[in-house]
Amino acid sequence: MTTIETINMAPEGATKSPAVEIRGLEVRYGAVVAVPELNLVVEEGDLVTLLGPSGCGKTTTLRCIAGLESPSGGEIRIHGDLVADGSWQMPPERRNVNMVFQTYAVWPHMSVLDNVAFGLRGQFPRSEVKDRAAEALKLVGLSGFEKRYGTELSGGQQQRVALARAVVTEPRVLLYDEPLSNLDAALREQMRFELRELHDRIGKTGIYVTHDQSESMVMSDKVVLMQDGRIVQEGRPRELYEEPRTAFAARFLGTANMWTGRVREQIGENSYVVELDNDALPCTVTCAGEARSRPGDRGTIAVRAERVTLADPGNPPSATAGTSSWQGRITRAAYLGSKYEYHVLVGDRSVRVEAPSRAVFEVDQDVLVHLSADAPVWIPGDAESR
Amino acid sequence: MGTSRERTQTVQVKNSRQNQQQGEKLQPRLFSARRFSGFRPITAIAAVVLIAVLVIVVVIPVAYVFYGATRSGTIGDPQTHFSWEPLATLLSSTYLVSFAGTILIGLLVATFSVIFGGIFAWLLTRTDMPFKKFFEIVVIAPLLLSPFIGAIAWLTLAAPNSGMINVLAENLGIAGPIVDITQPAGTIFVMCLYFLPYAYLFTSASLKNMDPVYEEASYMAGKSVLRTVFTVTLPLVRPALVSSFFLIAILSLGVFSIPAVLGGRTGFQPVAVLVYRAVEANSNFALASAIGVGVVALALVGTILYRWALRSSNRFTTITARGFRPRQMRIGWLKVPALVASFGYLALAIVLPNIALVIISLTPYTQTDVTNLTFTLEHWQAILDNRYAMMAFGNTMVVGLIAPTITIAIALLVSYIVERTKWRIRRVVDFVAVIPVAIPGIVFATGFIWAYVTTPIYATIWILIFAFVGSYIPHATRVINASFVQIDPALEEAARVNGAGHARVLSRITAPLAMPAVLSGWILVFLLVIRDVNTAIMLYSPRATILPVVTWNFVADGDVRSAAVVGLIETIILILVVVLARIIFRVRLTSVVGREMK
Repeated sequence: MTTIETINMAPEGATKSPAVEIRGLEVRYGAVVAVPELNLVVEEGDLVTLLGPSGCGKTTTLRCIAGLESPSGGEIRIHGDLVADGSWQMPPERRNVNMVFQTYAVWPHMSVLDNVAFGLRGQFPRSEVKDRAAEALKLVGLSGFEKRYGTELSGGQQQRVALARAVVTEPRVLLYDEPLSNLDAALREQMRFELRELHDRIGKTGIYVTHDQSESMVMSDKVVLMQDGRIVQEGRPRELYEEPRTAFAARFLGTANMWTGRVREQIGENSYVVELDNDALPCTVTCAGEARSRPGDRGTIAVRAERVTLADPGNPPSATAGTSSWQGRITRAAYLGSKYEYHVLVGDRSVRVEAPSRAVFEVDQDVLVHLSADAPVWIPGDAESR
Repeated sequence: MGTSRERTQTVQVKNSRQNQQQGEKLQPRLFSARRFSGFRPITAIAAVVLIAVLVIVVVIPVAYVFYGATRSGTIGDPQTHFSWEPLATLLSSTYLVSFAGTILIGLLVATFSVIFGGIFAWLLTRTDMPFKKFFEIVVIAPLLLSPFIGAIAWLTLAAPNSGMINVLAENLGIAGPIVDITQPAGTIFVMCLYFLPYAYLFTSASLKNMDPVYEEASYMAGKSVLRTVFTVTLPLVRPALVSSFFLIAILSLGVFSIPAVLGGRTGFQPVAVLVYRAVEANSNFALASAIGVGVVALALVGTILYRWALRSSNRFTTITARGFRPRQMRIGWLKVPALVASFGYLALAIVLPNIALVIISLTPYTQTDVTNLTFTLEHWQAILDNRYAMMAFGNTMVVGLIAPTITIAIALLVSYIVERTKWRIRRVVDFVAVIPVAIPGIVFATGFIWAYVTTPIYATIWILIFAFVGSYIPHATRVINASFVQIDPALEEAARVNGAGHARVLSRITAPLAMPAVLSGWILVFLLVIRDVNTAIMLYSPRATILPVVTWNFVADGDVRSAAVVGLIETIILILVVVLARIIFRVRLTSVVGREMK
């Protein structure tokens, strides 16, 4: 069961109701449970990312907030107003939220201006509709494109139209459903920062769904990692990366080596020597988080590939206390431009290592594998998967 | 500025809260269905109108078919009570023979149509046969022509004594009638000519949607082209062949016009003709409905098989977004029989019948010497001077404009509710909108008579319009549904989150995006209405008659020449509409008939 964790970033958060509050959300399609029970609080002004593999329920959750999907149970509040519970749902057009869609959903039969102005018609006098739409287009850098049609725009431009259309109605919450996943890699990286900058300028509450971990890190104040319809861990991007609390979290964000093992002895308040399974390789771990274990407890060690260092056995660096040092042999070496990726065989264990491109080792070369005590993360518990 | 905006927001929020609560109380639970509540009035009105129309044009008439079939007397008899008698009559040998024969005819028509339609589909999508673009139009063109008029044409061509072919043969010294279209085989032949395009469309759609990578993989595995056809292509299109087989079998059950024209009063009488005769001869509406119930039962079995086959065809169909051009198989000398078959079909289905109709409409009497014909315009003049025919012409135009428009509007609402909302009622709407598929027009019409004989719409063109709307809702809905599938739901969701309710989403987003299908669907229904005689024959009245009925009455009176004139007028209208649609709306012939098959 997921516990509710609120990371308050707004100091006055205690007195105001949060922008979005989800309690016990449950979504079922017949016998299939997409979201079993989900609790989430998004404070006003925050940009929160729902991150997870496909099918983890992140898009379903977002669509429930928008009103495009019907929860089977639980409740959703926006600015304190109930918008959905298990038996009743406010139609999406009444919620005053807006959404940027994965496929952009720029209406092909309308001009760019008509697309953006759609949500304003009937709400404001004609001239003001046009002024506001033009202002929104200026914000996204598409002034001069008013008369074009959706089909005459590039993917990136359509993305901007979708954004302008979403912000122009001044929604209480802006929802982003994998907005960059249809763009090619180069444009996607550029748009990340641009989107973040735009969002900061608008200053709205935002919920951003993605399966791309680096996108989630650029885009959000807080990352909510989901798996199988549950929240696995939430926190600032750095916390999630540095202190994954489950093997899944460690694996999903970045490249991690994962080894199961058993605590052999406790050598400091938060330091353990762990004996790895199969070859009983000893490994020293210093935990930064709240993980507590006793000798004999089982768990998983997660080590980021870039936190493993390699050294020439003929020229070993002076070992510091707590550093695990193993003999190994390079089995694969791949040059990736900014770095090298190695596979090192230690006993019968393959260790993935990312090293700066200036440190060059050859395949079949013997090396020393170093792990400083603060490099590995100790994840107590027997389960490999969670 | 910031503060004032915030204030307006909170006010809006409060208002919307109040509206929801009111909305929730006012709206019937049926719609809110624990999902969406807070209807806008226009949405509720549209939904209520839709349901009212479906009840009037589908539910009530269908119910009355069954009601009528269990009455002891006919319409207007105040003493009638519930009785099994009309249904029991069906067990007599006359009807059992008729049912058995009708089923046999249906199976034979379906078999031949699927074989030849399938071969045409393969030739035109997978081989290097010449003139493919031309023949693609030739193969589907008969769908736009009236089978009823085709039957009249073939009667003039191949009636045992007076038929042009037999007269010509006699002149050449060949003894006896060489062809006799009035036999059941003639009925099967003419039906095949007009049902073959259905099989062609199903199969060619399946072939066009089939990713050629499967066939290429077979070539890579070292299989020859012919082995590939039999081991890969044919199994993959089998669901399309099977579903078109059942569709054709169902449709042939309800065809009244072809056997009625060809078989006359003496030959074998299929059940659809018996329905008509029961009313025409004895005004026995109870018996007509009872026979209708039997036809519906058969059609239901066929429909279940058809939908089953269609579902597996969807499973098999591998629609790829990328355009591909399948490898063209070189068929060599087989081009000769392929071309003979194609030109043969062109001649039998289109050229010969229309030449026959033109000749017969322009000649004063049966002439034996084809090389030296006497021509006259007197039949045409007579029709143009015939006030009854001209009134029917006007009615046809009115019905032809109103019925498709209502049908398409209903289909848009049905498709939107079924495909795009989560209202509980959508399952009922979906079901009601497909019922008429299993009810042949002539049977459906008996239900309309039972239901509406005492209402003011009876004996007006409105009962015709209602019957056509009811009959063709499934066709229109299929066309619109197919186009909805291609519209990314995000386009509509984007409108929802931008503050648009259902009515505005449908009118501003969905309907404009579905416009090509709306136009194609309209023209399809128009064509079906204009060529329909099976429904109209039961529901017309002297003041409210349409061209196909006029044609039928001429045929019934033995005046084939006048019938030919009216038939040609109908054909000209059909062609004009297709050409105008192509020029004005750029609606292609292939898209009109092709969309329904998706």
